[in-house]
Amino acid sequence: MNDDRCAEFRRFVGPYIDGEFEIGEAAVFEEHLSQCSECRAYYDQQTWLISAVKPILQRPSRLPEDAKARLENHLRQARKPDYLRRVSRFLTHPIPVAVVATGLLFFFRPGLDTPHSNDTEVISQGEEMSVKVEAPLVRVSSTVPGVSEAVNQHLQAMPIERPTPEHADVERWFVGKLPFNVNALRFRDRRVNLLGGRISRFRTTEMRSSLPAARLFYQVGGHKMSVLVLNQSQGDQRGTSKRVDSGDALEIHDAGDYRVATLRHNGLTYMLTSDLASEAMRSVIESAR
Amino acid sequence: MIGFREGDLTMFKRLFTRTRQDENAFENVAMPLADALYGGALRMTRDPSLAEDLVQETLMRAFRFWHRFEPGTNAKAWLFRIQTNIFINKYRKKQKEKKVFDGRQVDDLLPRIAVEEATYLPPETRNEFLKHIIGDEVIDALDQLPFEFRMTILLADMHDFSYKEIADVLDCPVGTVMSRLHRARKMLQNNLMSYAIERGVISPLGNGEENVTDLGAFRRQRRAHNS
Repeated sequence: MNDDRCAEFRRFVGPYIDGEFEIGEAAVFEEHLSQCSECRAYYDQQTWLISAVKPILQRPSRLPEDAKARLENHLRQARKPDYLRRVSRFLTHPIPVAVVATGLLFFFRPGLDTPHSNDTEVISQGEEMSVKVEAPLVRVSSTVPGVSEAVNQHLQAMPIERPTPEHADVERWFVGKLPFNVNALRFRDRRVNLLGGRISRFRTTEMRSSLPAARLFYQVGGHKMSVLVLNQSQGDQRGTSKRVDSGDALEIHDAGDYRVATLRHNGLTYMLTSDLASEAMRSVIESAR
Repeated sequence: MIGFREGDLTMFKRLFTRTRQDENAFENVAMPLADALYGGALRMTRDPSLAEDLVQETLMRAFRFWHRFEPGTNAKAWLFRIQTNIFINKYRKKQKEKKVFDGRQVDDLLPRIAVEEATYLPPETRNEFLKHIIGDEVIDALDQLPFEFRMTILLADMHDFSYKEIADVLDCPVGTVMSRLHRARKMLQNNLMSYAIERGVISPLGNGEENVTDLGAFRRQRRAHNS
């Protein structure tokens, strides 16, 4: 038995097992292995341990579906051909937008005059819609304060600062960042999935200053839903609220292609915005826990 | 008379090599590796949401620099290199890990005692060991290793990279890969052995030949026995 040889063997047993040696080099090891029973035991244990641990380490992980969707979305944006990017730059420019919007308004005015008479449950306050153009976004202004702001924020593709499907995780993330505790709405409706949250600010024309708010991002089937959470008692502005639910106050407003539901619970205001049909929106909200 | 010139031939060749180019397209080469990158990112960051961000950044950067990827070379190694660099430059600073030492220093500073000899596990206790050390323990044991060592295990044993590829990913000599992997495996094994000892699968120190757990002790005992 040769201790130097054993030490060398043990130092290089890893590359030997990993198949990193050439045949000639490996032969030297095999010769020692055939002569030294301790090194054989050592080699045996190493091979066994590495082969026992490998399948556990190699258990496949899957990138969560919502992360995959976000990634594909980013790639689509990055892939947009140059001319499309130029068109979208053109569209965010105030002058052409104003011209196009004025033109559209001129031609489609009768459509806007029709109230949503069949949506009986929806308090339709968006009849006097006007499209006011302010760069860089096409702003939708509704007669109810806050509704247009909610829609505008919904239309802004802001990055999710805390991307997570875990409600508790996003709630924890907000702690210390806002002057109130955020309750990330949970829904029994299984189509509703949380994507994450970010810090936002909320301000309507009636308010002297903006309020800190949380913005939560959800996916409802193929639709996006934003939820703004704010403490309105700090900068009160009264809306024409009508009680629909016996417990918490709920209002659903129509603002063009979007529905904004305002829900008050435990002193906080939740504004849910999406392009879901009002019935679908209602059933989602009713499944809130 | 119509004849082909060399330029026409190249044009035809280009037309017909289109399919091969598609095989090398980003979505066919890089995107299917998103799950593997996520698996690696989970062990790098030890945090699922950071891991998602890391994969996203890696693939977005890979997309931007896709023209630099040489078709036919190992795309997985190329992507892991990007991911490792992003992690080191961005997330790791944020994670406030222990002070980072580079290269040889880190290998020298680690307590040598911990990696002297892995505990010997008699063959008859192996099945028992496997029954107790199932999955989470192995991941836990890996997560406890310092970054450089975790990375070598991750690349070698999780993703079956060769030493040369690991050296490329980590930007260090092959010799360093070899010694780090050697020590990383010992550290991992020692961590696993301590789980096994905690659970009473094996006993902590040799008392009697059957329960010898340390190879050095085993050797000493044999020598005493023979003389």
